[in-house]
Amino acid sequence: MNNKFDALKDDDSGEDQASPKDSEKEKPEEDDKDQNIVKKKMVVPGPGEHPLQYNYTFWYSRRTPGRPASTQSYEQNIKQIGSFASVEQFWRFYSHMIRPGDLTGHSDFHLFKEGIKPMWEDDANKMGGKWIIRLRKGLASRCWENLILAMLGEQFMVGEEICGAVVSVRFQEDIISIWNKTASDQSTTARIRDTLRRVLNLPPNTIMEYKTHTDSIKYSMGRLPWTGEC
Amino acid sequence: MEVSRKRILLRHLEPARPLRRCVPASVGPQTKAAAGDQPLMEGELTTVGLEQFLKILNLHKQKKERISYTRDFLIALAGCPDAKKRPEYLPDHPIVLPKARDPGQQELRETQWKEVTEDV
Repeated sequence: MNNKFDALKDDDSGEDQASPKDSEKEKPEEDDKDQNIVKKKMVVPGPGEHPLQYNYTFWYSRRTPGRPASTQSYEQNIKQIGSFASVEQFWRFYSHMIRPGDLTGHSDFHLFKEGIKPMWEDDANKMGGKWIIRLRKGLASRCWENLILAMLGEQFMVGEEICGAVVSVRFQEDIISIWNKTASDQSTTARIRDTLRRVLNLPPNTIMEYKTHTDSIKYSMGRLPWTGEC
Repeated sequence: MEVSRKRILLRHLEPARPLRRCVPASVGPQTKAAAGDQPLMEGELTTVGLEQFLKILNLHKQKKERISYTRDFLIALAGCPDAKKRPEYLPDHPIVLPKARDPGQQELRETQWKEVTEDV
């Protein structure tokens, strides 16, 4: 009897010890398989830190030269850097990443709300669009910083509409953009545009263009959406 | 609407009708007593009203209140030692630096954010 009891007890405690570890282990493994699932699901602000309204995730992508870009290769080329929930955590990541102005080749930094993939096909993005601003070389680092600080600091005042921001380094120019959920919501897009003008301190002749993601998908030669792949 | 009122009024005259049926047409304290729950609700609203109103207002405020920071405030925080620690999880990647760079060094100089540049 005693033995049996002990055995049961051992079993139980063994399970108790094993199961939480297993579940902890399983999660990151799952996430590794699919890089686009946020690695640490719930980042929280550390004690005494300044919380942000939303958690965000940094991503980096680079087009592999010579290969035709498709959604699949886009997903493979995009890499999560990390997620943060406070101002201090943001600066830790930001200060450990090279500045966009120092990037080479066809590459992008993305900063999106945690849980939203920086892809047109994400549920939060599929009805959305983005403001894009083309910058001459040399301005990307400063503009990117101003853009993301305005986003993290909730300066856009458009409720839940903001999805994320991107800086794209290209050969002749750099492009910064900010994505929102509802492309058809004109008061929101107008407010974003006005805030962008204010926070980026752009030269008056800077051209700002709004592009819906459905248009991006239609006219994109580079990559194809999930559905309708040829 | 008018037609139905007339009908009720007419029915009111019939002796066998239960009192409740009179409610919409008749006036005075009798109706209140008859329509039991209605005056009770009114009473509740007037006594709890203010408290409830404040509660609702508070909920509304909480929903609307957003954690917002100005650029200057965020940049000031970049100078604190906590902001320069290496993140716990940082992938090994060409764009990831081995050591923290001075956060936004160049950007800060351009905007002459004195307090922070002094720290840096």
